[in-house]
Amino acid sequence: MFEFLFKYPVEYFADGKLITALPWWQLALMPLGIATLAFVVLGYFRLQGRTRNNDRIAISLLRGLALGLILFSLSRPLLEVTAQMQQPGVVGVLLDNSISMGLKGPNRKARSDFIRQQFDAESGDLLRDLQQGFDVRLFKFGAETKAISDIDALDFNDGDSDLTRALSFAQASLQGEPLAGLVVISDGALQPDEPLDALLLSLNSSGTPVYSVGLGERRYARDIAISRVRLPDAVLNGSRVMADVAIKQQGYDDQLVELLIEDDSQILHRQQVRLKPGMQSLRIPLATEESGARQLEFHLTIMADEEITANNSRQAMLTVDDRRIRILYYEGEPRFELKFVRRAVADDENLGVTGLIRTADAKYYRVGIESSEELRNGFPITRDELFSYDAIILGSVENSLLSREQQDMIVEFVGERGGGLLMLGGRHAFTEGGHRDSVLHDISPVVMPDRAEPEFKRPIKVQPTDAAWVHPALIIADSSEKSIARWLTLPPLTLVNPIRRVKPGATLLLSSPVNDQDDPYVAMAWHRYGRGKVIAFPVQNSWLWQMHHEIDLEDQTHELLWRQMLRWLAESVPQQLSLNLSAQKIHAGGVIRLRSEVWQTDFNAHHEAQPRAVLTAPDGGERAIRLQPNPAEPGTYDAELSVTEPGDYLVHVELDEAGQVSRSANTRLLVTRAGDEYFDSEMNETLLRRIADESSGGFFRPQDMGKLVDALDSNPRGSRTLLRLELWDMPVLFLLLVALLCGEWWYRRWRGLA
Amino acid sequence: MKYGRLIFVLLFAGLFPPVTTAQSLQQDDQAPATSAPEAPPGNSHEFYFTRGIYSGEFDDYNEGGRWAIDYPKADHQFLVALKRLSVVDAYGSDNAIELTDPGLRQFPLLYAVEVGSMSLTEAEALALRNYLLAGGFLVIDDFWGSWAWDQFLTQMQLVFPDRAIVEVPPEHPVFHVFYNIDRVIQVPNIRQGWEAQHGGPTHEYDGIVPHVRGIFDDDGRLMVLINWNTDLGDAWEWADDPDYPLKFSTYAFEIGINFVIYGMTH
Repeated sequence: MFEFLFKYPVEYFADGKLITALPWWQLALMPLGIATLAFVVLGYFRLQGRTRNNDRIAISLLRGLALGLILFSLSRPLLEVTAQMQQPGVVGVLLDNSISMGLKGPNRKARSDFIRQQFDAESGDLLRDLQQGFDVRLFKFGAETKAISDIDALDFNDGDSDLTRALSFAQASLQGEPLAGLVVISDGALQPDEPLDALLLSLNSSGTPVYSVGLGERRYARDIAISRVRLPDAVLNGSRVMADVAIKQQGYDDQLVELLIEDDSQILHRQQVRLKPGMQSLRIPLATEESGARQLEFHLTIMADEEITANNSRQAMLTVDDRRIRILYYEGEPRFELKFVRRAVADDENLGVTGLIRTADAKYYRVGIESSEELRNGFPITRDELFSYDAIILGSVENSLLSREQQDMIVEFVGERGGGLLMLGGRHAFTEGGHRDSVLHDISPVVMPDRAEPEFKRPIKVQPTDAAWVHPALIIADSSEKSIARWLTLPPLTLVNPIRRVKPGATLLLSSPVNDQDDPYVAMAWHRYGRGKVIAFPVQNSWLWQMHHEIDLEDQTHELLWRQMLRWLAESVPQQLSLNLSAQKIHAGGVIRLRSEVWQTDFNAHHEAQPRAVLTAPDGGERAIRLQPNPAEPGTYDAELSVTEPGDYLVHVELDEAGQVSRSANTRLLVTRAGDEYFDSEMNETLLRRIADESSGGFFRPQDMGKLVDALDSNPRGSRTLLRLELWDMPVLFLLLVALLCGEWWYRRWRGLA
Repeated sequence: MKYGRLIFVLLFAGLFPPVTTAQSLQQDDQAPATSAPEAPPGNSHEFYFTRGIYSGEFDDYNEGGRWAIDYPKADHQFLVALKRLSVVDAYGSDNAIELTDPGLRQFPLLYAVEVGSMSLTEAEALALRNYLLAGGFLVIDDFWGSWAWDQFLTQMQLVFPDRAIVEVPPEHPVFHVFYNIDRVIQVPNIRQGWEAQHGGPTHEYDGIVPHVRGIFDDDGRLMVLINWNTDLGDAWEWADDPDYPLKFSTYAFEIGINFVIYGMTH
C-alpha cells in the first residue's frame, strides 16, 4: 500500500535525502508563489456577508493546503538514495606493456608471465574471478594507453610507462560508467612525468579506488646500474664539464669496475670505481673537443652473474657550442691583472675579452675591440651596447665611475639578460671603492663590510672549500683530488678588500683562514642572481699564479683557471635565439616539448618573431615543426611533437631577418625503443602503494589476488549506485489534492456558502 | 699636444728645484751605485718601477755597476710624472732588483740601461728568459752606437738564441696607448742636450739614428722594447734642469708613460 501511494519502498524514505531538481532561478520564484498563497488566504478574511470567522479559517486552510501541494509538486522534489545496482559494476584493469615487463626474476620467470597467466581469456584465474562480479575493461599502457579486448594485444615491447597518464586515460574512458575501481598491474618502474598530486585529487573527488599489483623484485640481489647521468645542456667548445654520474649496485660491495665514457667511439674518460653499498655519486671532469650536439655513452663493466645488464650503459646528450663569448673587462686604473687575464685567454678562440681601462681622469684606453665604434664613449650607456656582451668583469672601479643608470643596467644585465658578472678585488673595488651602499652590493654574492679599510693589505694563501672540489671552473688538474692538491700549493696573493661573509644562498669557493676564532677571508664566492651568475674574486693580483717564481713556465694553472671561470660564467648566458627540449632522450612514441625564446638586441621579448624549426631524422628526412607563440610568456614559442621511430634526431631552429637567416640554434634528440625502462627497474612499491593508499584502494603482491577480488567485492561503489528519484508524481499527492478540493466543496455546501 | 707640453713645464717647474748645469754634470759623472736598495714594503701597489741589476763588463769601473746609471733620481722623477699624469697606482720610490732574485717575477715590468756593457751570467740569462716567457716586459734604454748594439745582441742571444730583433712599427699600440707618439726622436744625455741647444749633435758615438726595436714572443706579443741610440733616463733625471731642453724631457715622459701603460695592459 505504501509503495502504491509513495511510488518507492519505505526504506528509501528512511535512508534517502529530499532535494529539489529546480534550477536556482526557478527556486527564486518560490517566494512569489508563497506570496500568492498568502494573498488568497487574506482574500478570504476580507469577505463580507454570511461567512463567519470559523468558515474563513476552514476554507483558507483547505485552499492553502491544496495550493501548497501544487507548489511542492512544481518544485520537482527528488529523493536521493544509494541503491543496490541491477547491473554489475565496471572494473578497469591497466596492464603494463612496457619493455621492463620482460625482465626475469630469480625464479627465471618474466614479470609479464603473471599477466599472461592471470588474464588469459580461457584460463586466466584473476580475469575469471573479476568477471564473476564485474564488467571488466582491459587497457594496456606503455608509451601510450589503449583499451584492449584481450591480452593478445600485449607485446611487452613498449617504451617508458607513465602511470599517471595511464590512470588518467582509463578514468576518462570510463566516465559515466558505474566504476567500481581501477586495477593497475605493473612494476611501476618509472616515476611519472605528469604530476601525481593532480591525479590523486581527481581519483579522490570521483571516489575511484585504485588497486595496484606490484610485479618484480623490490631489490635485485646482484646488479650494477648507472642510475643517473647529469650534464649541462650546453657548454662552450673546449670547456671542462662536470659529468654527474650516480651508480647503484647490490651484491658487489667493494668490487672494482671500470667506468668508460665515450664520445662517438672516442674515449673521453676511463677510471676504476670501487663500488660502495647502495648508491654512490661521481663528479667527473670531461674535456669537450668537438663542437655540435654530442651523444656521450657511459658504460660500466658487466659482471658475469648480473641480473640486469641493460642498465650498465647510459647515453646523455651534450650540446657543444662553438660561438665566441664577448666579455667586457672594465678597469678603473691600469693593472697587470688585465694584461694577464687577456694573456690567459688569448689562445681561446671562444673567449674574447675587450678591455676598457681608465688611464687618467676622463681618459680611457680600449684594448681588444672588434670595431672602432666599440666602447667609443666609454662604459656602455645603452642596453643594446651593454647587452651585446655575455659577461662583465668589474676591476678596481670606484662607484663614482659608474652612473646610477649604468649600475642599474648592470643589475638588469645579470638579472634579466642572464649575463655573468665577475667582481675583482682592488683598491677601488667593493667597500673600498664605495660600492657598499650601491645596487652592485645588492647583486654581489658577498657581504661588503660597512667600513672601508684603504690601508688594508694582506698576503693570503687560498684554500678551496668543499664546493670547489666539484666546481667545473675550479678543477685545475686532471681530477678533483689533484686539483685540490694544486690549489694548496699555489703561491700567496694580495688581499686589499677584507671580506669575511657571503650572502645566504651564495657558495664560498675559495677562502683564506685568519685564525681559529675569526671567519676566513673570502677569496672567491658565487651565487645566481635572476637569470645570471655573479662571482666575487676579491684578490688584487691573481696574475702572481702566472708570474711567481715558484710557478713553472709550462704551468697552465692561471690560464686554465681564467678560461674555465669565464667560460663557466658566460657559456650558459641566453642568446637572442635559444632552443630547449623538455628532455633530450625519449622513448619511441613519446611526446617532446620544444621551446624557443627570441629576444631583441636589448633583450626585450620579440613578440612578432617567426622562428622556424625542423626535425631531421637519421635517414635525412626533414619534418617542419610549427612553433606557436606562448601568450603567457612573451618572446617564447612552443611546439609539441611525437617521434615514433627510434634514432638520433637533429632539431634545428632558425630566425629570418631581412630575408636572411640571422640566427640559428641546434640540439639533438635521442629516441630509443626502451626509453629508460631498464633503469631503476626494481618494482616501485612506493609509487604503487601511494596511489593505492591515497585513492582508498589497496596494494597487493601477485600471490594475494584473492584479497584483491575480495576488496573489490566489498567496495560499496562496486555494486551500489546513487539514485535520484522523482517525487512530483506520487499518487498520494494527487489523492490529497482531490481530497482537499472535495473537502472545500463539501464544506461550502454544508455551510450554505457560495 | 701643445697643451700637454705646457703642462709638463708647469708641472716640473713646481716639482723640482732648479739646479745648475755644473751640478748636473757633476752628478752625471758620479760613480754608479754598487748594490741593490731595500725591497719595497710588500706588493700592495699595482706598479713598481723596477730597475734590473745585471752583471756588467765594466762593473769594476769606479767600483760601480752600469745598471745604475741615472739611478735613482731618474726613477723617482719618472714616477712623479707617472703618478701626476695617469691614474696608475705606482709605488713612489725606486725598486732595483737583481735578475736572479726570485722576487723579480713579482714585478712584470723591468727597466734596464747601459746594456752595451751587459755581461750576463748563465743564471741571469736563464732568469731573464724565464721572466720574459712568463709574461714579463723589459724596457731597454740608454745605449749607443754599433759597438754597444753588438754587445747587447750577444747578450740577448744568450737569453733568446733564435729570436729576432725587429723594428717596432709606428702604428704599434706602444706608441699610442696613452700619448700618440708620431715620431721617434733622439733623446740626448745631459751633456749632449746642453750642446744641442747650441747647435751641437744629440748623439753619442756612431749612434746617429734613434731606434725603437723589439723582441716578440711566438704569439706576436712584445716582450722586450729596445730604445737604442737614445737616453730617456737622462731626460727624466734632468727634467728639472732649466738647461736641459724641454722637448726632450717631454718626449721622454710621454713615451715612458706609454711603455708603462702598454706593459700593464698588453
